[in-house]
Amino acid sequence: MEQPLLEIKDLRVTFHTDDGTVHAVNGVSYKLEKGEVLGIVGESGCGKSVHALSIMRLISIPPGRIDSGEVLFYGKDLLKLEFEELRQVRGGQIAMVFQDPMTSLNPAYTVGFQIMEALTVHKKLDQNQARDRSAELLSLVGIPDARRRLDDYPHQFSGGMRQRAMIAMALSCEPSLLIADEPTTALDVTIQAQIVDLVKRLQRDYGMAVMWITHDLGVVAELAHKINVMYAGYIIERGHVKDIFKRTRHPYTLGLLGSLPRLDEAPGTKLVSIPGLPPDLVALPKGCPFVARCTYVTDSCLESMPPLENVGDRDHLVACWNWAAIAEGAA
Amino acid sequence: MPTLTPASIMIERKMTKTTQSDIATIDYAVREHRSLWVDAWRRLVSSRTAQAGLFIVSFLILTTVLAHFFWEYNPKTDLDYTLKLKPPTLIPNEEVPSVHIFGTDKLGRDIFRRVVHGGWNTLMVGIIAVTISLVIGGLLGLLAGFFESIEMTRLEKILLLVFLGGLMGFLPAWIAEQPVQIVLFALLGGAAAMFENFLAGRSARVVLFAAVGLLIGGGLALFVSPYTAIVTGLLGGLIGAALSLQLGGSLFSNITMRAMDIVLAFPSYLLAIAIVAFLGTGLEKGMVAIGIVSIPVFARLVRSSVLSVVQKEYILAAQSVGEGHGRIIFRHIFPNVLSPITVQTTLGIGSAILAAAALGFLGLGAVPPEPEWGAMLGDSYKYLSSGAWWAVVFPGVAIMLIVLGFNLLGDGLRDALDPKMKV
Ligand SMILES: Nc1ncnc2c1ncn2[C@@H]1O[C@H](COP(=O)(O)OP(=O)(O)OP(=O)(O)O)[C@@H](O)[C@H]1O
Ligand SMILES: [Mg+2]
Repeated sequence: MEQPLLEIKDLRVTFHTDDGTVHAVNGVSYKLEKGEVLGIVGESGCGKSVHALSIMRLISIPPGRIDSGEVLFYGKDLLKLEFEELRQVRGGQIAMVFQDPMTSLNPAYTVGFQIMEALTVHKKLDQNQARDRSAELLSLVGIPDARRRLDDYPHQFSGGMRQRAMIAMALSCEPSLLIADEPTTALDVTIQAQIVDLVKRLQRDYGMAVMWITHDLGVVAELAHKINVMYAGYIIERGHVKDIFKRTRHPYTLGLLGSLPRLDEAPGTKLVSIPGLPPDLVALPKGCPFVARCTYVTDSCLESMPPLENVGDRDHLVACWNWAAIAEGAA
Repeated sequence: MPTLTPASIMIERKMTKTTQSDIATIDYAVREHRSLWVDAWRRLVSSRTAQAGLFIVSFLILTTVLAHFFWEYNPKTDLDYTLKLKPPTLIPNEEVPSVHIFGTDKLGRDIFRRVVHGGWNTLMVGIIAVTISLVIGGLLGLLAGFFESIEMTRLEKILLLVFLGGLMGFLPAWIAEQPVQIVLFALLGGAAAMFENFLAGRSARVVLFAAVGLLIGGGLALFVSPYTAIVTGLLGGLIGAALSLQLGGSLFSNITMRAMDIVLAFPSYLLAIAIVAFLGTGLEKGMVAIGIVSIPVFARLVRSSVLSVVQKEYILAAQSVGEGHGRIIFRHIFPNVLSPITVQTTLGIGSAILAAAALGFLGLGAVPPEPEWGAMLGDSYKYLSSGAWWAVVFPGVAIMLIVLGFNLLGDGLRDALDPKMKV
């Protein structure tokens, strides 16, 4: 088999705070192929961002610490790289777009200046070339009159335009992996749809892999090939979009899907939400972290955390002791 | 709860999307292009407080600088007992044959001349003392704040430990009069950072480095005297042990800031006096003492400003495109700490001048015939009871004016720079 673009093995990340050790990521392993779009979903605080930031060692260290694991990118462990080598990967081969376009650009510099900065970190370009390329990138992401807008400050851009500018910055060195951490959450719905379209188009044109982190299963269904469902720092279900939506095996994923409003339901149907709260990451229970909110609890659930097991014929993994029973129930 | 949107709704939405150029035009029309610093300057010069401060400060600086370079004055030969303690005289008369608009002091020196020339020393104290505290405090605050949440690279760690090794080495080197020890301790720090995986067991590493530190501290001092060697050897051992722990960012920040707290716990004038007593009197010593005393003010200010900027998402974004730490500090952090620093520096000059005047008054500042406002006060207050008010009032007013000027300017700057950047 061909080497995957990214392979994460048993990644564990903790934060050492005054209130105790926060176990933010608890042994995450998966592969991401070239050109693949991977959706990462899960409730707020389940470790989606921390796991993504850890890939390029971008979490705050201290108080954070990557306790163990490997992040193999083209077979090279990013966690062991010297800083200068890591810098080449950051932005050069893996780029990231963040949640809040209002704060991801520095208000003190023009948008053009910031895109040119990103460009010149990795490429030897003179002032004019960098400017041309920046204008090109801005128009690529759909900003009209790009050349003139290079001299605008971020406050002169709308939220959606800023996010486009961030995407332009991320794309500036043609990365082979784009990590988008809830890039549309802070935007209104029309703009959200435009950004999703934009990334979809760029992904197709450049053949880059995308990791799309979101609360929004709707977006993921539209965009992704595979989905990782995360809960309390674990991947609890992973598979192709179809498998996740049609052959759901984990009670938590079922809950998430149950809370997804459907157009085929009668108008006024209430959202089903998962009762209870996720566990405290400082004091995780011994067994499965989902027990307190689960309707299928058995003794083994209280005893130990179930391993990720393959439950289908093609990379459909579930961490639940009772997946077989759930499968029967669904059938 | 997360907001969830099904794909089908998303598809519907696409049909009604606003075109990008609509958004662009509206945006461009509504928001007006302006720059932060131009704005701040405009606010500054339109504020009455700042105008007054600016006027006083520039007037005093101008007269002082002009006097220093174009009006000769030799304090060593300035002496005329016949004119001892004469009141302000505008029209020469029999008793006072020359003009003395501020009167004369106990040695018959023209107070106006000494006030104008004394301004130079006073300003120098203010500027140099603040520079000392700004550079050292700013650097410590920057390092502490930045590395409190950003991983140190290997090179940075080596540099930090070399610096710390050298810094800590000062004490034993000074006691044993072996300056070369500073270099050796710096090297030891570098070694601690470079061979971080050399000895896996933490205690083994501590013992090894403590032993090497003991050798460095004690070995060379044996030539001086066995007693010195024992003292510096012990110090060296402690330094070695401390270096072997290889301060990470948060530990460094903690230790630095606690040290700052300790300095701040002393009344600042008392501490300055203690330092002068230790270093010996003189204007330069006074500057150093005042500078050291206000290091913590700058360290804390810079650290807290850096901390608030480091958490901004654009710093993360800059890291994620591969910008190095140097570039992040200069491009992103520096502009953001500049305005609180500007304000604090301006206010700091005022208080440094006041502190210098206090030292001068106590006879710990400028060495006698040198004119300096605080020292002039100290020289003359005894004659107040015999009615020579002018010998006290004029230098006193000068001190008051310049401190007032810097404080007004500082307040004006704070108001002008404070309305935060519009995001
Ligand atoms: N700097 C930090 N210090 C302490 N704890 C942290 C820090 N950063 C993250 N955490 C903790 O790590 C856990 C995972 O956070 P993370 O940001 O990955 O969640 P998330 O899944 O991205 O949530 P959201 O959907 O709200 O963005 C949370 O419990 C959070 O409190
Ligand atoms: Mg997040």
